[in-house]
Amino acid sequence: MKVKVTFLGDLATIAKTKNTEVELSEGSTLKDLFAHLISRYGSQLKEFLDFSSKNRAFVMINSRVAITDDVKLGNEDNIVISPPMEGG
Amino acid sequence: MIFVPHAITGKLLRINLTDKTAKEETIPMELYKRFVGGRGLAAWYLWKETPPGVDPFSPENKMVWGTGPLTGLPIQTAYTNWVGVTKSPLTYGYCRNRCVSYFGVMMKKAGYDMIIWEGKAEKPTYVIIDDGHVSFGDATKLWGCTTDLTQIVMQEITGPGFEYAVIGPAAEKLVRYATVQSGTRSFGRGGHGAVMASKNLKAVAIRGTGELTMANPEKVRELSREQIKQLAASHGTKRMQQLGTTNIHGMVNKLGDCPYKNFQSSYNPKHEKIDEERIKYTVRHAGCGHCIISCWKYVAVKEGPYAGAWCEGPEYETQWAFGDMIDNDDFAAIIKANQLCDQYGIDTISTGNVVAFTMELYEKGILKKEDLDGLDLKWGNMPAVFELLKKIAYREGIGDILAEGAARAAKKIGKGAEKYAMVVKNMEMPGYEPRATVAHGFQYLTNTIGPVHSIGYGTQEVFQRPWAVDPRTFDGKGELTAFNQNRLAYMETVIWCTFAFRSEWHDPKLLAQIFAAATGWEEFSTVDTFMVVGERVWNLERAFNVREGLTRADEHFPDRIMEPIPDGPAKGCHWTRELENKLLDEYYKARGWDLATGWPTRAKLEQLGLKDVADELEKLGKLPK
Repeated sequence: MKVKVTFLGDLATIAKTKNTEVELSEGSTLKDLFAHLISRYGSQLKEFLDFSSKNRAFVMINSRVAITDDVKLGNEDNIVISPPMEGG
Repeated sequence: MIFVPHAITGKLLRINLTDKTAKEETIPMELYKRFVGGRGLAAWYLWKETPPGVDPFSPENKMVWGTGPLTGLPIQTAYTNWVGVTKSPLTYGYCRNRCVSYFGVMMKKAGYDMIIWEGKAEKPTYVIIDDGHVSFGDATKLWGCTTDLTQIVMQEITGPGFEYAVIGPAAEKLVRYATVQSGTRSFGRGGHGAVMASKNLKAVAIRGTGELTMANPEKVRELSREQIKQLAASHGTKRMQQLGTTNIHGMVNKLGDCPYKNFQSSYNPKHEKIDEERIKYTVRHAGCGHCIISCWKYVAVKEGPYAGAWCEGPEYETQWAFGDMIDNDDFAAIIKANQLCDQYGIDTISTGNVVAFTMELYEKGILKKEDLDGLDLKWGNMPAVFELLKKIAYREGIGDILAEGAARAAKKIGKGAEKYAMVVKNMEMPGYEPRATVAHGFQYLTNTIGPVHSIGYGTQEVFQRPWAVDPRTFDGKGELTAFNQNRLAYMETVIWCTFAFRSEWHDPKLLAQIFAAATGWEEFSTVDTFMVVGERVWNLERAFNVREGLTRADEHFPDRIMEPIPDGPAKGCHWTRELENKLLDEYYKARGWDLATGWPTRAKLEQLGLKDVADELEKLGKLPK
């Protein structure tokens, strides 16, 4: 299956792209996607894509917030990954 | 032996503008231990000293300006914070503002933890507080001046070394959402500036040269090193350094949480253009004293139709209010609107909301061009917006009606205009969509100061910190909101910066230890102690509002929030009146309040050491049976 990934802010700078597509095997989870992205774009992404890290990214799957990284992904899912934020 | 406290000064300055007197008073240590300082102590004095039902514009209303025990001490994210409370002319309830100018530092170094303003001067007046000396001056010639000019002239009058808090022409015209301006910072929401104007108080200058001490400075230094390490390790710090509070704008839109065109939608399809433009206007990164975050941004427009405009900001809320909310995608125009609001002295959040309300009435044909003094108020028409801001500030033409706020203006306009007033308790809602982030939105209903984003911020939903919560679900959100309100209430007694605190970039346990080391109050070295203080302060503020007439019936959203969001990432999300009631029940229950009225019970008040408050409410017939 194929999922679409959008990086925001500094994560787009690290990945050197804002948008990408990733091929994953059926039944893959968000964590599997993270592993793929780290191997493709480098270990700088690691602390953001580790949900136990203080700097964990803000992640949305099809406009819904991902609370855990064990959620299963589906074909054509849209994943938005933002660096941690504060403000307002 | 004279007891000299650490961190605090132990004193307040009471200034009576009617008879031009100033006197120092001791603040009992027992009150510090109940309310710590800042917002807590200020709320207590407001509660004790203002009569029930007081007219916000009468001399009997008071303004209480306060610092926290850590204000003025060299401690990260605490140095510059100060607060002000009064009765709001917008909500007719409790009004609390916080500010990060150096005025609070000067207040503390002048020897005062608080200043209480009472009475009314017979003519426009400025007040100079120079350490222990207070003088009164004739501000007749300053009356009518914008806030920037007023501060410049006050600098001429006082000479160097002072900080200022002033009002602009909007406050003088009693615009119900007028601000107090201090440097480039403001007491924003609820009309504190209009209360100051009602006292004929145009400007305050303050200089303090005293020294503040800490109980255990070595320990504070040691703990502060760890605090700085934690702040520096947070990517949130980096984001704030780069973009200030506006760094969240893109993600808030992707979440479908950004009210667009007066809450018609919650997603601005043009938001990326604003985000891409923003960075090029920054000319200087700055920040509060003793804070490595440096989230302030000085911005300037150097070319194009708004060349010459500048401001410190815009913060996220202002970017939203004069961007997404009114469908303007020109960042230079947002800077210009921010500058005008600061100069006139009006709250950017309420003002942007009121402008959007007016634009929607124009779109729907309820207001016609001739009703708007000839202004073509179509969405995003910024030259017309700038004209409207002036009309509001000076109460000219349609501006006189809009200066009352969207809720009161809607009643005057009639013809169904109420449907488009995006308000709770007569205050305009800020820049997050309650249909997309449920707990963050639910605070709008239950906050003690009206729908203000910062006082019960649902960080778990909007930032997924300090732990992650699904923003779209309803279960447990009443209880979560009560928790958030309590923790931010105690934060504002110290007073810590909100951004680093609420997402826990630095560990709250560490912060409690720093506080205890600075003050010597060992019982405050745990978060649990502070949480009780937060709950106590919240109940006190609630009691103030109950005394002013608040009931459960006041806590409801506008009808539009019951309608599904038509498009964008949060398409289909909505509240129902049943869900609203369910969460109110859950919230009141979590707080130990009466479900029928939403009033604090005697049992809860006594548990929090507020028996005197319960007695007062009982006398007024406002304690649940």
